[in-house]
Order: sequence, then structure tokens, then C-alpha cells
Amino acid sequence: MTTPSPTPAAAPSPTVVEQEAADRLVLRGRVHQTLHLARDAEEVHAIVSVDAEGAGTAVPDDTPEAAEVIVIDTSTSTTHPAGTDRAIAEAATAAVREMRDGVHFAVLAGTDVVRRVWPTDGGLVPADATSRAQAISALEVTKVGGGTRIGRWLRAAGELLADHPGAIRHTILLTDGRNEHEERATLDLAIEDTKDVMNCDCRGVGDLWRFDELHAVSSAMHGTTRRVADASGLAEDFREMMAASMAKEVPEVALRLWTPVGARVRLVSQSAPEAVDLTARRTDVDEQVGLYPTGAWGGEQRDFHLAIDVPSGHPGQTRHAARVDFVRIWPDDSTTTLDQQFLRRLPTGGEDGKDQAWITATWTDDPDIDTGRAEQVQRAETENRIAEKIRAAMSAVGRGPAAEAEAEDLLRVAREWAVGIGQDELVRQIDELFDPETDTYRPGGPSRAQALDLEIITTWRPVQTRDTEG
Amino acid sequence: MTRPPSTGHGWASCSDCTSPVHPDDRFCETCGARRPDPRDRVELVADRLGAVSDRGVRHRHNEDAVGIRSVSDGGRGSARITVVCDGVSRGARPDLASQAAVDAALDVLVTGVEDPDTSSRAAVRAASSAVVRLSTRAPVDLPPACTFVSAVVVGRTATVASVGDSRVYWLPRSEGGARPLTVDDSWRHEAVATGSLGEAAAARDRRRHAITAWLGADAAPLDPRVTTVHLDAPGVLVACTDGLWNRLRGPDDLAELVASAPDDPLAVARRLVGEALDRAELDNITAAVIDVPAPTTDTDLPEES
Repeated sequence: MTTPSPTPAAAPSPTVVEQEAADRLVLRGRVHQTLHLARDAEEVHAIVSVDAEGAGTAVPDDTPEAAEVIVIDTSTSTTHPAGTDRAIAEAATAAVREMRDGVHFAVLAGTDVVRRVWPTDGGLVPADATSRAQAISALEVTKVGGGTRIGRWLRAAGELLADHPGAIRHTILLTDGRNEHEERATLDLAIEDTKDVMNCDCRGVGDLWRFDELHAVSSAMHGTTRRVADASGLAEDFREMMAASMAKEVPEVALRLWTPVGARVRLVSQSAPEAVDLTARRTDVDEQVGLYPTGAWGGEQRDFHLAIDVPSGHPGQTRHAARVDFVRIWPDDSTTTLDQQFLRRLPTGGEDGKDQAWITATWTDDPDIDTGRAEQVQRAETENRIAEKIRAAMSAVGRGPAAEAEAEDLLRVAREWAVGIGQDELVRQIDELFDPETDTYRPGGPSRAQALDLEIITTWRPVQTRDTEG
Repeated sequence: MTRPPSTGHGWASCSDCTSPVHPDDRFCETCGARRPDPRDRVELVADRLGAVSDRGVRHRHNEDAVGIRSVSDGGRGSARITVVCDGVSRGARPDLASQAAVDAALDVLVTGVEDPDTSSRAAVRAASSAVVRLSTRAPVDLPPACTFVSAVVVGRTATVASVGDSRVYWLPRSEGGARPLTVDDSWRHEAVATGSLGEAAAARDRRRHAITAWLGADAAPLDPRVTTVHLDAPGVLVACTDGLWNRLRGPDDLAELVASAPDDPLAVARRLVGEALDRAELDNITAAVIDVPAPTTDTDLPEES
């Protein structure tokens, strides 16, 4: 047997419906790597790109249970500019309208404390015509006033969702300001305590919120952080987020990694479309097998970047550096293997298909054989370096002339790399605030909004080109 | 295969880290090392026949294949047969191509020892069909392909057939007379034969390994070179791939090595392949050896009717 040991236990089936739901997702993947390493080299890199096909609405009677919490900021700051508070409430209204029948939901209002907008007590309520209308009425009379304590909002959402194990659990968090009435450590602790309970998308309205705060939430919870320039665009954005959440078919999927004894896992990250470093989030199955959470999946494409140090071999020797597959995590923490197949191009030009992604290393002394990193790996690494440079540059905004000059140099390098890998959208966005002719900021310097937008775009990356052959 | 009793029934031990390995596993579950492929080193032995095929160090797989057969036919005596094929690395699955060709050719040759010339030509056609069938299974840019060489020795008569640059040498035990019985279908041979380049210049040219004929879906129409020769002295017939002759300079060099080896076909094959490896050959290396005894040997006489 070549499955990662230990062999996964027989599928636990809390209910027949959930067991069937595991089969709603079919994964097709491809491994991108160079097969050879130079003598004494130990570092093996690969990109595993995965296309997931969901059952979609093909089986409408069999849609998985979903639970949704919408948290809106009702702090005092939402009265500036005037009407922001109303636009936020209307966005929540749009999301509620989008709620599919039977989805368990609640709407919370966040300030220093968390107020229940709907339902006013008890747990989540299934969506139907009546409950949606009642929630919308409640949103019309939302009161504003108080501070911003995002950690408390997360905990309140997490408490409600904890009652729905096995469901697709999602929170939409919307704020317009900094987490100014709470220590960062308090927020981090709340993230730690709720990240296994839900997936979360964050939306920042205006330009006074902090990217690092919201991104800490969304990256821990397999979601996105986006900026909403003005409140008028919120309703459409909320509808899209709801639709994306409703399209998820398996609530919790983990990347399962097998490595040889003596190997060191340098990196496991989701490299696209939303960049998330998963390395520190490993749960050991045993010494050689670990699980890395990847959140809820529907029909979608994702890429993963792995870097493993393995004991080097002698020229001509081949070793498995890693094997990867994807498993569903059940509420009792048991796992079942998803339906999946991975293709790998062989040096002879053929391909082979396996139910695991094989990442191998063959050592060679032959100078004619390519022992560098695969083009796809190089691209992912370049994207990481670009993100580092841009975040460093943007953190210098408003810190005086010396810091700004340094930031301009960082941006120049980041832009050069982005051009090199054809990241046109990123280049365009850099050029909005940076003049490539003079290698300096455009007159007036970057605005807070421009800085936020640039930080956000570094979290999103195009997936690697899919090979349509065969 | 040695199976340490301590690791339980049917379990082997990893050649790299010595952990127990399940017999069905291709990779060690402990250290990840790929288990040796049985084809990495093939040693075959039959009556007055011996063959060795070695992966060498450059290729992940042994793309050479070799087969030997010793048969007795009803009337004229016994026959010694070998087929050696070298998979073309630029094509898909060269290891499958060479093995398919060897298997198909042997099946034909063992049933046609009464007329080795006809059966050798039929064997090339059968081998070609087997290789072409591989490419219809999985369409690819470069279909599976391989070279071909066969040798059939009946009594004191040898019939050799070749396509590509795998060779058969006749190496008599007495000094002198060592020579190839095949002619390469190769750029190098043709450049020299047509006089466009000298032997030394052709041997240095980067096209020196390019072959001009092979078996496979993208091959030119088959035109195998089939030759029958009389062997008038004791000696050995060696069928080999370019991994062997790349490093060993000509028939005399080979004859010298044979003379220094024990008088046993497998020992001779081991000696030849070992020498190529010692001379830093990187490619797959294969040598099949047919022992041709002195004319007085009884087994070469027709059986009594």
C-alpha cells in the first residue's frame, strides 16, 4: 500500500447525508517540480495545483448544512462620513436576502459589546421568508454608538456557530475602523480560539482600518480581506460573499502530508488564489504524517507550495520527499480521503496518475540535467518576495522622509519582479502610486487607501496556468 | 530476494535505511527511498548463454531489455537465441518499448530455428508491431521506440538481424578475427560510409549517437539488416547496446576482455558490463553472450535420427 500511514480509519458516518456529502467533491491535481537534485542537495520544492469539482446544484436535495453569521460594525465611527452606518445595514440586508432557505443564520452588531440584531436571543435560526423579513426589519432600526473590539465580535460569532458542528460555517465581518479598544494580543487570542469553528471573510469600509488586523483574521480563517471604497458597493459585495459561501460543499478539508523519517518541512502554503502560510498550523497524525487545514471547499482551483528538506541520496538514487493528498475532517476529528487524482509529467514525456501527489527527488552528478526549481515554484517564491517588499514599503507610509525613501526602493524592486513574472494587475496598481520613470512616489505620496489596496492585492495571486493537455 | 525473518512474512528490508518494506511498495515508507527496480540489474543464464543488463548511473530506469533462449529443434540440433533492444530515451516509456520488442521477437524466434533468416525477419516485424501497439494506448508527441538486435546460433551458423545501433560481435578465442557482424543504422556510420567525415571526426561529432532506423510508430518502413555467417572457431558471440561499445574500443578490446574472463557466458557478460561501468559509462549497458564451443563438441552434431 502506498497510502500515507496510518491508513485512514473507516469513514465515520454521523448521518447518511454527511457521508454522501464527502463525495460531493472530486479533486484533480498536478505536481510541478524538477525531478533532479544535485549531489548533496536536500531541499525539494513543488507546487501542487488542485482543481476541485463540486456537485453544485446538480443534487439540490442534498445540499450540505450551512450556518452563517453576519457581524456589522455599529461603532460611533460609522457615522462618518454620514450615511456609512445606513449603507452597512443595507449591505447586511442584501446578504440576508441572499440567504438560502434552511441556512442557519444570525446578524450581530459589534461595538465594545456585541448586540444581537436577529434573532434577539437563542441560537441561529433557519432562513425562510419570515425569518429573513424579521431580520431585515431589525436591521432598519440598528443603533450606532460605542467602540471597536473585533476579538469580542469573533468570539460571539464563534459561540453561535459552535452549535453547528459539521456544517459549512461562515462569518462575514465588516468594520470601518481600527481595533482601537482592544489589545492586539486580545484579538490574536480570539482568532486562535475561533479559527477552527468558522471560515471568515473581512470587509473594511473607507481607509481608517488596518490591513494587518483584518488579514490576521481572514488568513487564519481561510477567507479574504477586501476594501470597500464607499458603502454604496457593499450590497453587491455581500451578495457575492454569500454566494461564494453557499457554494462550499465540504466544510473542512485538510492537506495531508507524508514525509520520510528525518525530513524537515520547511514550508506548506496555499500559494494561490489567496496566499496563506500553513506551515505552523500542522496537526501531527504521527511522526511522518501531518494535517494542514485549508478550510471549506466548493468547486474551485487552488495551488499549494511545499518545501521539504530530505536526507540527500547518492547519484542515481530516487526518494519520495513527500506525498500529498486531501482529506475531509469530520466534527469528531476523524478523517476520510476525498476522491482525487494527481498527474505528474514523467521525464520520458509520459504522465502517470495517482491518488496522491508524489513529490520525488532523484540525485544526479550530470551537469546536463536541470536541478533548479520548477518555473511554477520560482513564480510562487517571487510572489512571496514581492509581497514582503510591498508590505515593508507600505508600513513605512507616514513615517518620515528617510523611511519613505527606503520604501520607494523596495517598491522599485517589487515592481521589477512583478514585471518579470507578468503580474500585470499588480504592476498597474503599483504604478498608481509609484512613478517607474523616476522610481519615486507620485506627487503627494501614497494615500492610506492606496496603501491598503496594494497590501490587499499581495494576498491574492492568480493560480498557475492549468495544463489543458490530455 | 532476501527477506529477514524478523520483519514478518513476505516483508523485505529497505536497501537504504534497512526498515521493513512491504513487498508491494515501490518506495520505502520510512525513508522514502525508491526500491531497486528488478530491471536495474538483470542477469540471465541458460545453457551456453549468459546476459547482463545494468541501469548505469544516468537513467532513472533501465531502458535496455534482453532475453535469451536455449531450444532444441527436432532435427538439426540445438539453437541459442538472444534479443537485445535499447529504448530510445527521447520517446515515451522506452523501458516498455524495449521489453515489448524483446518478448515479441523471442516468441517468433523460438519457433523458427529451422529457418533463422526467415524467422529473424519475422521477429523484427513482430517486435515492431509490439512497439507500435504501445503508442496507440497513450498518444504522445514522441511515441515509444527502440533499437533491435537478435542473434540465433544453430550449430556453427549464426544469423543476426539489426535495426539501429545495437550490435553483435563475433569474438573467436584464438587471436585475431574479432569483428562486428552488424552494421549500425546511425548517422556516424553513414557519415563515414559516404566519406563525408573521417572515423575520428565522426566519433567526436555531437550527432554520433543519432540513429537512422528504429522500431516504433514514427519509424521509417522496416528494412532490417539480416546476415548469416559460418563460425569456424571456438569463441563467443556478444549482442550489446551502445552502453557497452561506447567505452570499449573495438572488437580486439572486447576479445581481450573475454579472454581474461572465466570460460562461462554469464561470467563473460559480467566482465564486459563491469568494465564499461569501470570506464565511467553513464548509459544503460547490456551484453548477451552466446558460447560457441570448438567444432568437436557433441551437442553441435545433428542428433541421430
